[in-house]
Amino acid sequence: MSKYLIALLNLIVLVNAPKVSAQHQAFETISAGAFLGYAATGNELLDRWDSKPSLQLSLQTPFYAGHLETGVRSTQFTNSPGFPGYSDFQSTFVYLGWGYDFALTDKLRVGPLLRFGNTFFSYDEAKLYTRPDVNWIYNFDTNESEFAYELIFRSVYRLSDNFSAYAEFTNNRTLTYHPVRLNYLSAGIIYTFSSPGWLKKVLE
Amino acid sequence: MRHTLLILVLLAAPLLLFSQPNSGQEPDSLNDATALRPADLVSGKAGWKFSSIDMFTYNFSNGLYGNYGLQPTLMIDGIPVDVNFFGWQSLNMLPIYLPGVNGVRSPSKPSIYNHTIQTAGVIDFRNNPVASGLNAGGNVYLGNETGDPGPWIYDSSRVTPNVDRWGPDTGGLISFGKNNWYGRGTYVLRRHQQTDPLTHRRLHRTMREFGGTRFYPIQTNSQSGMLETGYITDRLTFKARGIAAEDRNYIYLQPFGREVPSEARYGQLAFTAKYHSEPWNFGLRYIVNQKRLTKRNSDHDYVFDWSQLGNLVKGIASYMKQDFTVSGGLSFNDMTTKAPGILRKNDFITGLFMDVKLAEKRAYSYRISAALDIHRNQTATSLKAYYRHRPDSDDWNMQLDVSYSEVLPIRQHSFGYWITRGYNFHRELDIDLDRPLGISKNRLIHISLRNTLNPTDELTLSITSELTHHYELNIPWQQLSYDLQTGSAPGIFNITGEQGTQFDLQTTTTHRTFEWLRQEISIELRTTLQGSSRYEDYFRQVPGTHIKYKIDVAPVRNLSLTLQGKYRSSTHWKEFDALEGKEYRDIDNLFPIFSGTYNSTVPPQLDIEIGAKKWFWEKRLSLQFTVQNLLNNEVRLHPFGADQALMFNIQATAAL
Repeated sequence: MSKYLIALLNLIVLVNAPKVSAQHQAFETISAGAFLGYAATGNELLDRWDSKPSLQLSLQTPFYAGHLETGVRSTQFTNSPGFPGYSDFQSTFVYLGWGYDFALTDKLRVGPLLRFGNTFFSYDEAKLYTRPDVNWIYNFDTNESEFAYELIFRSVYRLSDNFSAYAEFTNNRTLTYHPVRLNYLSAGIIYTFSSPGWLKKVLE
Repeated sequence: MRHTLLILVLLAAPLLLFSQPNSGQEPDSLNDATALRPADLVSGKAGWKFSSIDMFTYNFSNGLYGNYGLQPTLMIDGIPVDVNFFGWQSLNMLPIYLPGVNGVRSPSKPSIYNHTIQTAGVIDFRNNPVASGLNAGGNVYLGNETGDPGPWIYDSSRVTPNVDRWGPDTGGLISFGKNNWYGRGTYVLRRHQQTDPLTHRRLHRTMREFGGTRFYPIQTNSQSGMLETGYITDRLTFKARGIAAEDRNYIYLQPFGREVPSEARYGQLAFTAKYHSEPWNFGLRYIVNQKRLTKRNSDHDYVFDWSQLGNLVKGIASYMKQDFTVSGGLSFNDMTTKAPGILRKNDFITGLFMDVKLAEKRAYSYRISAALDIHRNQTATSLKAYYRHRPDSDDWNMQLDVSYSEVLPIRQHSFGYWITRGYNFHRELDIDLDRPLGISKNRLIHISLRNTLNPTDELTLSITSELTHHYELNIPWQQLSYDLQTGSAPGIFNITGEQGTQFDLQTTTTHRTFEWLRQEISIELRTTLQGSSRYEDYFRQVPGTHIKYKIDVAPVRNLSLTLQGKYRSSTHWKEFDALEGKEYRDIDNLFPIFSGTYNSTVPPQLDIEIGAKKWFWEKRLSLQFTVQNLLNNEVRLHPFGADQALMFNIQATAAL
């Protein structure tokens, strides 16, 4: 599915690039948003752990063609019945992203994004492996991180000059040895304001 | 799916690139958004070959002396830094604060550099000139290789070990400039944690074999600092600097066929003075180098102690008149080497240098240089001459170089040489010798013809063909045997003087497509034309084909993007043939699915990197992201080396 999604996203990008590039002035505005989401589907990770609703906070700013964003999404996973030895854990994805959107109507915009960053796993209980025959112990840390990226398709509906409603479909892949693949559905509100002069100067 | 990131980036890139006018930035080597450590500034350059076991310490060579031969001379701001321990030299030991580096000069071909004939090439890191007033900065770097176990640590059928961590590296710079005076201090700390099952198991087993009784984290820590002051006027330049460096590492000792846990220390005091008074130039340099190599852990039961104190004095005088220059130099190098078994500790090397450049400003120019090294009853002569044709049209020039080089055994920094001087550490490692070790002068003749074309202002094309004949090349050889626990066990070590001939063809094309976009592709083909079977086997360790492509883009102000691809053909390491097809597993078979097979052939590989660097707040802050091994192919640079997977890096820099 990812291949088709990428092809679609890139087609959108290529067709709309000239329009997009003219739309924005870099760092003119800042948008702060909060989202609630849910890992609706995924790979076998979801056979062993149950996902709780996720909370995501993000900041965005126009950046020449498209916009840059940074943010964090936190999701709690609890072990499924039948896997009592599996520790609950918190997954926190800290990311940088780049995307662009184009207007379907005066109020509705859609667009693709690419985010990459690190997923930090924080386990409630450490995992210990022992080999008494060779007097060997391997104690895994309760914290671990791994590179992750995600592809997003987002729609934005402008509610007022400052407020917009967002809905996203996110295909996240964390590159552990056995990769973690999760598909999130999320929605939220974002507030947009003009960048203070000093902040614009710093960002430029 | 593994290519999705690449596909998206490549398809989306043109939008970003062409949507904006140029930034006015001047792309140079340090707009390279993929450079994170000193080795990154060299590995992408044409002419350099490299190998690495841990992907932290890189062994660079220009190909003339192979992997175990004479190493390139390392310098900082034109002053040599000698961190060569038995042919192992780590760029991470250099106090190079990357954000403060202006560029790297790295002629890989035999050249005359700072009044010395450098046959094995030079890697010279050049710092930015110190600005007026007080300046300070710092950075932090962290790399994360993909492939950690994640939540699967709770599934005993899927659990895998943690993988390598790069960093965190930190560094800092403080400088002060006023009128003609300046002062500068740098400090860098670089760290690496090896967890690749191949190297991890071997290092643990080796440390147990050496008497280790506890669990040792497999970590490399390298830290170094430099203090420098100088006075610069139109006529007089004076510099004084001190360097202190320490590297807690696992030195790969080729005669042993494995790493030896070690602690390398280096200290330098250097004073240089240059005086210019038309038509004369005078230069004087005094350098003290202190090198020390010891065992890494106090509870290990081997004695690695090797230390060397060197005092170098060098004087140069040049006379320039119209279009000719005559230079002459004299150097004295006094060395005291202490190690178990070495009885005669003192060495004194006298060096002479003469250089004549003729018709420098004309279409036809010539240069002839000669150098003589005298050590005890041995002399080594080096001669170099070139003829350069540079017509007024500027769109073509040609240079023919002929070099004859002899290298004294003591200059080769080989472990075998110090064995011949009495060093007996090999006995502790159970290395049997095939005596006598055939160490003599390395002697070669090197002929190169370079044509450089500039069909347009934006396009430069150079084609270089080189022919190298080794009259005598000391090749150390260790035909290893297989050992279940440690992978390899040393057999009989010998050094023989071999003859052979190499041919090398290299093309480099640089195109400045726009003011904000520069790309370079280099293709290098190397082959052994003739030579003994040992000679041919030795040079099979060096890839026959290198293709390097790099594009630097500065699409908007304060943003640099780099994409770099490096292809290298396969290499074969005959010394490891006994291990071929043997299986290795993780230490004590803890992780059920983690194992591999030794292969004495390193397969061909394509390594693609992308990087983005964004500056903020009038370049006071920067953030850099890179992704290495984008295709997640097997990237392994040595049959005993770690396999690097896709890797993500981040670096933040602040300057005041």
